Amino acid sequence: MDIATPSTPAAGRAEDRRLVEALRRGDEAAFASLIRAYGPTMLRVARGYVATRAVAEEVVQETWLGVLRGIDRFEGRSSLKTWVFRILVNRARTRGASEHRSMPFSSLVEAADEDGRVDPAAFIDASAGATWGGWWAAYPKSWDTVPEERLLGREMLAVASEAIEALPERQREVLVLRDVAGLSPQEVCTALGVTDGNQRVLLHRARGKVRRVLEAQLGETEAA
Amino acid sequence: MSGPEELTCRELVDLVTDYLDHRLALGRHVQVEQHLVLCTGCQRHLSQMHGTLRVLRAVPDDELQPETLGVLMEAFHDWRDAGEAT
Repeated sequence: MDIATPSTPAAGRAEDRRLVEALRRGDEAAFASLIRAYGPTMLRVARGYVATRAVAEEVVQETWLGVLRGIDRFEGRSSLKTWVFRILVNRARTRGASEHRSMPFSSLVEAADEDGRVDPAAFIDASAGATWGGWWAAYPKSWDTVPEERLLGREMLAVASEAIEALPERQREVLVLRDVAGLSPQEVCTALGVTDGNQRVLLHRARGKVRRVLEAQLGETEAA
Repeated sequence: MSGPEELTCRELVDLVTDYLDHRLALGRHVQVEQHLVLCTGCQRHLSQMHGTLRVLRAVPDDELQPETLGVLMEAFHDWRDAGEAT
């Protein structure tokens, strides 16, 4: 049994009902396919909270045990995926807090701070009364022309991973769930227990920071 | 061409996430679209945001260790055999 990405909310709910009933029946293949579908992303999310990969695996393992224990109480008010990730985030937060984790930062990532906003110097200064105040002083580079093998190459993906890890916790959890795990805004709010407004601000800052790190990396590669 | 009712580029880049999520009020959304049609700089900024999203989606996930899978399947069997499955 494969976990397809549902095309509509109704199809998603039907798929969830099918999976939940299969689990309650004790269908081993359904459990295995759920783990295969969500496990890798769950591992990435968990990695954001705890110091080692081994502990992250434990968090994922505990989450699935929690899913089994709670599956009879699952009522389908959220999607199954959201429910699983909510359990995961709660476990990971608890584990992370008990570890008092401190993150190493690379200098590249530190440079891209200031809430992830575009460098103000990129725009013409409005305070000088310039006609074009607030417009680009110089156009940024288009990434449409960056070859696929460079944009999605191993080097860029490694830098992106590092940038994700270095984000403040709340920004990182929103960005990973939205942009890496592919949850909807509503699903992220439910999984994390944040308001829609918060989710939007955190995501905007997190994406902005990652963009700046990638931009610096692309620039560096070009100059080399 | 830049009137006070129009968005500046600096304002537009702050709206980009809500724009991509279709979360702007209709009037705002239209302002952003109109600005984008005319502004090479903002088109390029948007290409960078799309690029960032493509990179993020391509970040490889780690696979779970086979041992973790094994432990979980064993736990599933125990859970099922204990009669918790209905």
